[in-house]
Amino acid sequence: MAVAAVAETALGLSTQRLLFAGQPILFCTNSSQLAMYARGYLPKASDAIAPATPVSATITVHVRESDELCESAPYFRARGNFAFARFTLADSFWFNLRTREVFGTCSPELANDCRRWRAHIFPALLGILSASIGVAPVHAACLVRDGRGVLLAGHSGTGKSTLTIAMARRGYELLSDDWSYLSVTEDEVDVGAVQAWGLPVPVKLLPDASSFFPELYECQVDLSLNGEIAYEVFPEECFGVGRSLRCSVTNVVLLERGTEPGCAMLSISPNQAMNHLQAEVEPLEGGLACRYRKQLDLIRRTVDGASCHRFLFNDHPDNAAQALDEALAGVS
Amino acid sequence: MDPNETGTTPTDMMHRRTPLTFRGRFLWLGTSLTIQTDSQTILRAAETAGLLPQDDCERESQLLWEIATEPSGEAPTNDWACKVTVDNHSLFLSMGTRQWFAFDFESGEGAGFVAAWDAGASCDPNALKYLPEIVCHVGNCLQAKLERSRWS
Repeated sequence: MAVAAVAETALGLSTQRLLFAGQPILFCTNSSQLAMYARGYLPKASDAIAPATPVSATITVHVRESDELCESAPYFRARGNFAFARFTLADSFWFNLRTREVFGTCSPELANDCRRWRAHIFPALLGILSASIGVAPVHAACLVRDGRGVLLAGHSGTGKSTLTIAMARRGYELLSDDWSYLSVTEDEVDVGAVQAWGLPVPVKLLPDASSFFPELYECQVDLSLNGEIAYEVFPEECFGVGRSLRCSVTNVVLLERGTEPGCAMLSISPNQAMNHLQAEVEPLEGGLACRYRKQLDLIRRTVDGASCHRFLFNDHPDNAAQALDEALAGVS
Repeated sequence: MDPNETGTTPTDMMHRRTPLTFRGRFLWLGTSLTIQTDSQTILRAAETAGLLPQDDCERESQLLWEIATEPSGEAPTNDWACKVTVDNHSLFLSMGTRQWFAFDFESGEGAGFVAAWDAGASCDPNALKYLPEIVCHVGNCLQAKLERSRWS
């Protein structure tokens, strides 16, 4: 039997204008819990942009009773202007990327799972929405010192997150350990400039990271969204490092595991950095092709405005972080 | 979204680019509809669902639906219920945990994924249930919108 849910008649929706990667989005929900998580997760739009600025996208989440178990069942598919995301058996999230609207339903049990929302659901929803609102997600960690950002790009398994934590322990602020979001700012601080933005997600460290970071002894590994067993820890709490929300990127570093012991940093061209970052952006076709071109333009502007390097390392993360830190100091 | 698990490249984690090599054009509710799919079983199921096939497949239609099949990996089960969600611009149908269809009322575009036990079979039982659900619910919504526009 069909069950109809009509979003526009959902009663008691609270709405908030929040900021994702510099873009104002409207978050609507009938759950006070979710409204609170969203408020704690994304900054208020009014803190950075004029109230009259139209919202870039709307996310509506309707919490309702469900017979389904809140059992993990990640599933993500997209075609044309549509996408569908599911995290457990008790939720569904629909995307119309043409109208920039997301509509989701979830059970009260899932609505109470703050950690899952912060670690998995919010970042995935925003990541899928990115292209349609002029945001380019890049598969790169990002660290910030004195407002200057360093993008650390590398294939999965290179050791990005481990090196990121080691760098953050040397005084860099952590913006992201995995995905950073490029966007043109509309606020009064730096109108028209491309900036990198982060989300307050946990960092993901593979089990062997505990041999470098004793802080992890007290933490439990768990199943992450992509099925890997990993630590997912909030770096402020676990390592006492600082967070940053946004920065201008001044250095792009491609990480590569070296075969010889030690570390070395070499200059590369912006084109080489571009090729690497572009290869991990999902190409979009049809009505979204122009959005994809805009994403590539954001990456192009970022690498063209930064010093680009390749960093080869085969050393303890603390030694690699020291070598990278010193090399970057030499650049600036 | 583990690319290793799904066999996709890292940049097709959401299976956006499954090639849809089959194309059928139909007449439905007095309008033209093109279905692009990767399996002929979908086109056959569309006929079974009451869509009237047309010869000129390459002609542009008012409605365009893209439907990709995925191997179900299990014996066919079509004991799912169709859950319908409607918002201002779109209709969303969820049919079991890994099947869905979305339709945009303004653009006429639709897209979805369906599990097929045997995509090459002449009549996959799952596809035979999936298509009629879409036809029924999209049709109801389109007719309701037409009625409203007549009275407004």
